[in-house]
Amino acid sequence: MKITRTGTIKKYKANKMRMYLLLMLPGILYFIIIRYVPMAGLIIAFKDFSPFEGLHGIISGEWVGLHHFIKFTSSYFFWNVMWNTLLISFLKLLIGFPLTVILALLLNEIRHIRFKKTVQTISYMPYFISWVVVAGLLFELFSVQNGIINTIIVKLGGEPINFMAGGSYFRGIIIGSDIWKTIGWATIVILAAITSIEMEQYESAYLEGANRFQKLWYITLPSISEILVLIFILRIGKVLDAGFEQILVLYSPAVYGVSDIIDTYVYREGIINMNYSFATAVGLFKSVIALMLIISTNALAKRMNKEGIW
Amino acid sequence: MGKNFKKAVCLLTIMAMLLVMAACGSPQSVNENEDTTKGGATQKEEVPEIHFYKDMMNTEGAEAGSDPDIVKDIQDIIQDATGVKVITHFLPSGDEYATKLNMVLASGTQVDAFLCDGVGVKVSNYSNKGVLQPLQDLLKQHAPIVLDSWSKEAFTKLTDKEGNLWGIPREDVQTTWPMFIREDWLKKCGLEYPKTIEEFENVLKVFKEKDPAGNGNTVPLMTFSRYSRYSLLGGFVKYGLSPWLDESSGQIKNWIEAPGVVDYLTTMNRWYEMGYLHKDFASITDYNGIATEVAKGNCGAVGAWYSVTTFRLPLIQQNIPEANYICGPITGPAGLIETYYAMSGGIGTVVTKKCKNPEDFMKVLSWAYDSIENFVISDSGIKDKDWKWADGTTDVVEKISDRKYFYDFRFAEAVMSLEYTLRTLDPASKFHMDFAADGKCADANRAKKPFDIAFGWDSNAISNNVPTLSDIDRLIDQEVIKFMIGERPISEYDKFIKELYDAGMQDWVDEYTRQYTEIMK
Repeated sequence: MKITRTGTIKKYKANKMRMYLLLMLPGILYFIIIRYVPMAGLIIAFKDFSPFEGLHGIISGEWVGLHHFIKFTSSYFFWNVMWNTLLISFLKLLIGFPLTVILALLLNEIRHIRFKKTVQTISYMPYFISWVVVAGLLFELFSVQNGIINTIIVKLGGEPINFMAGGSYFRGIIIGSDIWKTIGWATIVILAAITSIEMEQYESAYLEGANRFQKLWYITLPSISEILVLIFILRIGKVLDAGFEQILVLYSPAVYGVSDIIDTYVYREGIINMNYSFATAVGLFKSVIALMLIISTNALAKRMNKEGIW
Repeated sequence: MGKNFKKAVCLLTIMAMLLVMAACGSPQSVNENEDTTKGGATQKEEVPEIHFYKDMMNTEGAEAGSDPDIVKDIQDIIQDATGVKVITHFLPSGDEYATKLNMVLASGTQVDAFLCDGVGVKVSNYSNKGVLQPLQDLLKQHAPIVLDSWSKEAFTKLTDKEGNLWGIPREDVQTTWPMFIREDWLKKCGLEYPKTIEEFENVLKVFKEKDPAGNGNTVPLMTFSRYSRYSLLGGFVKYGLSPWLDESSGQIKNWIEAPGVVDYLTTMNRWYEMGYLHKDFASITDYNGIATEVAKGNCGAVGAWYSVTTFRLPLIQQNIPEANYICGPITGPAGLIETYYAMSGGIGTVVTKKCKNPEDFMKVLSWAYDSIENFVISDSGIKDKDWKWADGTTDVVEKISDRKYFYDFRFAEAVMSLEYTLRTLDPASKFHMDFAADGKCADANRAKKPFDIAFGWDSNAISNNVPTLSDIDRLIDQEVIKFMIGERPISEYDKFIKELYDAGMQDWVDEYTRQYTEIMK
């Protein structure tokens, strides 16, 4: 390349980048049109919006200020749904996250390639099963009338347990079924990070006389710690999404007290009753909380000398 | 690879992605076979069209849709008679109906009329939001036959205090929550159909002990919390499932506070503990859940909407030919156990404000209500092609074709003088139609009238003045089932009532009392 003027270098780079920028265009358009432009609709959280007036209703709707937010926060069940949401999310995180890491580490230790691939495939197949189907399976499995679990309990001399209507068991079923369904899929990113660790480190450790557990503890875990922190921060941001679809198909009035989350509450109150303004207000409320959580977790991660999202 | 090849691949990829985005963003038809447009009817100049939306009404197989030929044939008959083309769009039943319908309405798709199922889609929800147009003048002018076909109470429920009629009834005041009991099991166990709650409990006890279904599969009583309020509560509570007047305070109170509710909850709890109720009673919450269990043929008694049993009996009889269900009056301490179903202003056929030609829809309704033959055409298809009158009759329908039809145009549904006079030879629906034709959907000897049978509550005012209405409903649903399954002791009932008042029940009482006072003036 002959460098004659600075502008020639810039023009060359611009030409080269043009194709890549064009390639990014659909993605950027997607985010602008599907993600950013609809944010203007958040205004209906502060209005009394009738969906039947169409887009015009966004402008002409009566301004009510914080009415919907106050209605939500002063609801008799506000603290109940908040508590359920946070508890279910944190339990899924506290139990599911370490289990995901452990599974990824265990999968990494498997030497037999075919067996490893088989286990991986089996572990993330449940991810593709719809929650409606999983709910049907769970109802059959835990049915008091003729479910396998209760049949075994009765055969062993016990009394049948109403798992699906018993508050103390139902939360466990929500968390357990969610982990079963998602654990395999979640290991993919961690496994990818593990495979990027340099082999020389393991070889050096081997020469130093380290055993498997020591290699795992001193090499594998520290090497993937940054990716784990990133995944954790992103999951913290979703802590107010406790699994709407899962809970909607599984819950019943008997277990509202332990399983009614913000999303199911808003679904009944906001979507079915067509209070879209109320639903939007609660969605905005959740987003603000999620943003605060991500910012604080990101800052905490950086304080610990780890990489944050930004 | 050449530079040009790379460029070409990049450009193709960009175009493909843009195409996908455009495709994902384009408006979708709710029904793939129908042509819906945003913001205006698909009206040809010559033939006005009516776009009608309804749910699949929990009918098995309805997702596949009706046979297009039978739809076209009936459409043509209606068009010949009225000059109007009716296009019916189906949406899923249950909670999904509300969600999907609201999306369709909000999207600008032309919706001229739709059916309210009274569950998630209630007439009052839409009339309150300015979606509907009032029908009293339209019916008077263009379809007076519709006004003559329903009881005064049916219209009262759908009329607001200004006198605007917002919907055409889809159900009249009726007795459609019978306690069905297996007749063959009663004979097997040497029992008669019970006349009292005590005898009924004895029947359940004997069913449990003798296990007629075999292998311990017998379910003495199949019901669930919400359904049992219609089928059983009346035996313990004076007005059954209904607001009631507390004469000591002069206030209208919720059914949950009525004298006798504690006995009802105690009895249900006792039956649950004794194993008379389905063990998954607490997890079954909808029509499909209970229908699935009834279809297994293991249920001794069924306390549910009548079609749960009437449509399942033929399925049971395929394996157990002698199976049969009977019903009759059963009384408890407070009277008949069944409560009349008097709607609450929820169920009906409504016309939207967007409908440019509501008179045309009135013509279609007039046609549908005009004669039994028209009703059967809208219900079963073409005369002498899909059905005929059974020999020597004019009220027994005999199906003669296999064309699938899911009631796309059945506008005169549940009209006592039409549908409820018909019978059929089709084994799949004979029991169902005989139940109505025998007058059992209007059997005053079997059910008691709720306190508000003749009142039309103003639901708009209720939702404005009782902001915690859904909290109250949730609290009742969740705690009642807990009392029934023993998760909460009955001794905490008073505490529960206090919780209701903490949740805003006083607003409910004040609003209903205010409306009652105005009605009584």
